[in-house]
Amino acid sequence: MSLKNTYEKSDVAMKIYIDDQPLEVKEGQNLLHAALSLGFDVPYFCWHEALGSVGACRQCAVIQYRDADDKKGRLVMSCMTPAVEGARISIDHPDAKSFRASVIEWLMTNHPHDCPICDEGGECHLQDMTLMTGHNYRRFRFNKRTFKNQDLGPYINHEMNRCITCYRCVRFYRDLAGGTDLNAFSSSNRVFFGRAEDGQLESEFSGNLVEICPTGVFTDKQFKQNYVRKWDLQVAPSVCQLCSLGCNITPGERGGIVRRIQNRFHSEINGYFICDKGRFGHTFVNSPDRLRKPLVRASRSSVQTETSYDDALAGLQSKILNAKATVAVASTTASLETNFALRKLVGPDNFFSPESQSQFDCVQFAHSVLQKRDLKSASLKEIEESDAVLIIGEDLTKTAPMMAFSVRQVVHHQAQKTALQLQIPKWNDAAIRNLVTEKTGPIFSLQTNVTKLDDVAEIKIQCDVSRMESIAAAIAGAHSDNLSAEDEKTARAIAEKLKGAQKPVIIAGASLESLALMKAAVQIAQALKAQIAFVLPASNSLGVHILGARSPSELKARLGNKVDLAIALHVENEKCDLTAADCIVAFDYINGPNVTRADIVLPVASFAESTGTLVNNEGRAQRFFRVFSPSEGLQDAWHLLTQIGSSYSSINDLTKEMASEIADLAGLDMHVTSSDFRICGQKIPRASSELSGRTAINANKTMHEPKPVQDPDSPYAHSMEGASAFVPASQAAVFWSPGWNSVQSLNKFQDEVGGPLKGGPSGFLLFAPRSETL
Amino acid sequence: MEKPLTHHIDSNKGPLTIAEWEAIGGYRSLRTAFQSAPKDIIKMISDSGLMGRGGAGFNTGFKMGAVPQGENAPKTKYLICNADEMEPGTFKDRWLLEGAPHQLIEGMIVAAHAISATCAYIFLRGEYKVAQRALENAVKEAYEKGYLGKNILGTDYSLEFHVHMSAGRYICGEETALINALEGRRAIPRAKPPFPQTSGLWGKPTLVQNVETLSNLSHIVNNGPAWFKSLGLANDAGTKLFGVSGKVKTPGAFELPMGTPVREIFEKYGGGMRDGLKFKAFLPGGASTDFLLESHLDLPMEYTSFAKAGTRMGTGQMIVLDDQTCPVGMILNLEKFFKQESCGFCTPCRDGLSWTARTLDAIECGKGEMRDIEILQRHARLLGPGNTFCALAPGAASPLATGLRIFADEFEEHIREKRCRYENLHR
Repeated sequence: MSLKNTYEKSDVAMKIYIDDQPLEVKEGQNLLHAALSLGFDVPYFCWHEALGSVGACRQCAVIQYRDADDKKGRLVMSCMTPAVEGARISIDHPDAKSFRASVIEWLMTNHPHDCPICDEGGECHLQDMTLMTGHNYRRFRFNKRTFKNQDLGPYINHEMNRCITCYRCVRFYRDLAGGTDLNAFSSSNRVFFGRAEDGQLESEFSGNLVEICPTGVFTDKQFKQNYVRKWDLQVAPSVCQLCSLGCNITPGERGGIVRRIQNRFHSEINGYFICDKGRFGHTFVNSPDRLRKPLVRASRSSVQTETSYDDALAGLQSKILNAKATVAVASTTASLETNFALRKLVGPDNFFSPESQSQFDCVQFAHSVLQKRDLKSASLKEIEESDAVLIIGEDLTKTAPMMAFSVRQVVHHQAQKTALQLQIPKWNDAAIRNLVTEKTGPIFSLQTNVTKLDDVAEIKIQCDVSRMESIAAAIAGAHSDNLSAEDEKTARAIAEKLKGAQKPVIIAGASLESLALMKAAVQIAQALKAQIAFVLPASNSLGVHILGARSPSELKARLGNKVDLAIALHVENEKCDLTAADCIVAFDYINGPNVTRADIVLPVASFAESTGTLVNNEGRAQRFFRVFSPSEGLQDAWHLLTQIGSSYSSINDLTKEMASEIADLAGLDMHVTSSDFRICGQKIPRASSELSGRTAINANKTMHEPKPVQDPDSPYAHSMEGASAFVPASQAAVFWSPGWNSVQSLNKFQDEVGGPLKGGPSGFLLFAPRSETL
Repeated sequence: MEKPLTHHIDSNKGPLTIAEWEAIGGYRSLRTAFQSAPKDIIKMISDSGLMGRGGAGFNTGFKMGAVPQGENAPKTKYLICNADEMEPGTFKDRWLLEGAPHQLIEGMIVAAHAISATCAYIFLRGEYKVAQRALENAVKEAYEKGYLGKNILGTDYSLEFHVHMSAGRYICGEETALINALEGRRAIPRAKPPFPQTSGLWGKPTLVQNVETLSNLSHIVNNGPAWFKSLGLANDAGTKLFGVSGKVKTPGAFELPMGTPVREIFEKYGGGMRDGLKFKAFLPGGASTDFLLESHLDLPMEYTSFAKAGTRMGTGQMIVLDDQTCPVGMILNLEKFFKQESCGFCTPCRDGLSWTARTLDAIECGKGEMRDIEILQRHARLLGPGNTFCALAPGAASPLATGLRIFADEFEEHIREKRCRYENLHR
């Protein structure tokens, strides 16, 4: 148990006593949060940092004393008790310990003995809390209540017998995610959490049930297809590549297969949750359509045949040398390093964006705005804390789901502020939701269609793009004759509300490919000195523009003349038609129609098998790290590219060169984890010390112990051995703490529970504003 | 003896019409109340010593005083009459609801005006169909006469009024679970603080009071706090609807002065035990109170005296246990009720009451084990106030804890003999 005094100097600190030990805590907390932040092990179930306290499970019971003379004390629930100046509690009091053990005993009266067959085993919060309380003897001799499970769709498995009725699932699903098709049914010890009838869960955030459920009621059904125990997984810090937000994730792999994706906490971006796309959208990594062998074809009419990397690269090298006109098409889903390596290979003049022209214009505009550094880009956390949000033409639930999730929290945040006026603290979740019954908040939404955020928007308009452009311009203060009186009125109302707000955020994006909308958004933000949040099409859209990719119309013009060689990255993710070029070379990780049209195909590693840096919609550069070594000679795309032309001994060198050559990336090499990073000379292990079968797993093929997979150019090792202590939290591969085997172990890696990871949030904001006041 | 609440009720005839009620002085209190400042009415009620008649015994005036008033208070406020009478052994509110709906409505208007409520609800137990008809009719009459609705009696005070039928769960008698049910949500209680006076129905200031409590208000306004105090025989003020059930000669509900000795209620009004049966023990206020013995029959039946004796009067509707009814079976019956009515929110009540009921069932049908006693005692101890989310489980623990103590030998006999000694008597 590590104890420390911790408080931020700007917040009021107060003294409390835990088992007679004086400690300092910030004001406004409940005792459970305070105790956990100080490093004490107090068990809990229904409390969660993101959900607040409700006092349902009774697991967090401690003894509270009135004052120093009170020797008897009384049992209170620490999650529901405010930490006030001079508060005295005892966690170790025998009555408290006994009661906490009884709570587990009660839960165990119905909990099935499923551990050996339950997916949650090994990362089960119930297991951890059971051990923590010391309950170990079964006195209940009657039979258990059982339930019929429901088919909740392809992603979530339902096993209700395991339920300990903590209510976390419905509170997350309904209160945080705004879902409506999951609820609590019945009463007494037959409470059932499920849908009105079998069917796929409708919320885009349903996957978080897997992590929020402290037992194995809701588990990852996709993971079940390729299940292994958590301790057998190899993990590394990665970043989701499926939209522009850059949520932090931890993929887990074993035996060359990505098994599952978990949330990786980032205080400024995704927090505790990710969307279902990010969580379940990894199956392409294991797909049989993965490209494994280079392919070539003699002519457009012949079939692609397998060849070796050496031959393919040699062929490509000769083509580059002989080509008079070469174009290279970047990828908005490939890392900065890969795109830069391609740019270096062909030269900046031949480096083009894969986007459509109107998309290009929008992202280019966003880039130029960020480059000016006079508007701050709002993080998802800042959006949650905003008191007025204007969304222009972005169906966030589809284009940036976790941003939609953050916008949803605006309503509750405002309710928390209202509740404080009645001395109801922020963490008293149920009281706040009882006090403020209004479901809408200061969210103003201009959309072309019905969206899933409509239920929280105070003002919403559904219209076509041109009408939307007029309304947005009107909010910015411009007048247009083709605006109806009603629209004019609404625009003024929105403008007034935005003016009256302390922390307004304007959200706009490239979905509708309307530059006018984005310009209006920026105008509004500038007028209000508000924060801007751009939604971009892909995980590295901004990165491609930072590297100076040229416009699609220029590419089209170039393709109008003779082009000897066209090199493209991640062709399956992009839409450009390169058939006009004499020879198309595709670097990609997955097969598809665009790949079959290429003349030379060079397979590359997927994101889970490679290391690189992406720039998210905020302009935050984040590095994702290779989780497992790719098979059969597959390499990172940048590595492959740099073998033609100059080659680097380390990604460090490439990053340094990139940082010095590209103005926007200045300093990047100082802010990403270097390959040389070591802790007391050791690398960070990707696997826990419990990983099983390392030597036995190949015994059917060969009796010889396999050589450990080398990963020389990385601070991480494909090993169980290495530095397991003092790993900075944002660089940690494995989050484990004694007694905390579940995702709740995260508490131990935050200075204050719910706050940034120890050592601060990761990522490098490339466009941090100059002004202090922003 | 004065019986202000029930002297006019004729159970054979049905409730008085509004004209009949007015003829005996009904709705007179509104004129007095409306001419006084709300805080003066609240003080009057406070001074009268009226304590909540739902079982908690909290000073009504004090409870009303906690509702925020004045310019900064929210404009919308609610008064709720808790007519969800579901405590086993309790049937006093039914008497008032079926027999004197206008008395309740009048009292509610007094209370609503005193807290500046804009809307009032009667949350009525779903099974009380007769009361529903009586109340809905009376409300209609009151609206027609202008005692409800806009600008009552030509003043600028308006009150919206609704009768709402409960879908039927015991926990709805808990004021915060009632509020959740009225909002159309799951009937689970709310943690306090905040209290309903601060954040209640739809987050607005709300006062919840029992039927009998509200029915007293018009009389207090008409006759003054001193009069009300004078009705009590010991410490507590006013009259109370007491009750006696069990195998007594004349079970029923009786309006008597607060502080009437228990023995008098039991023997004089309840008629004492039926011939051939002997008194064994009693629950003074329905299922959620302690088993008390012969010695407690000499207590004045009132909140204060019972509290001094280390127990609680509750609703004052006593259930008497005779010497030929199995106490284990009685306790099993009670615990099965509580287990079924548990809302399922907190662990000790949800899982503990189930374990308790299963264990008692095993004991009653001869499958008990000696260690069951210790398990039951542990539950009786652990399901205490503060350990659970609301008072349902502590209420369930009251008869269990005292029953295990008082009838210890009978529990042991059930387990040892593997049978109930009364099995031939009541099968």
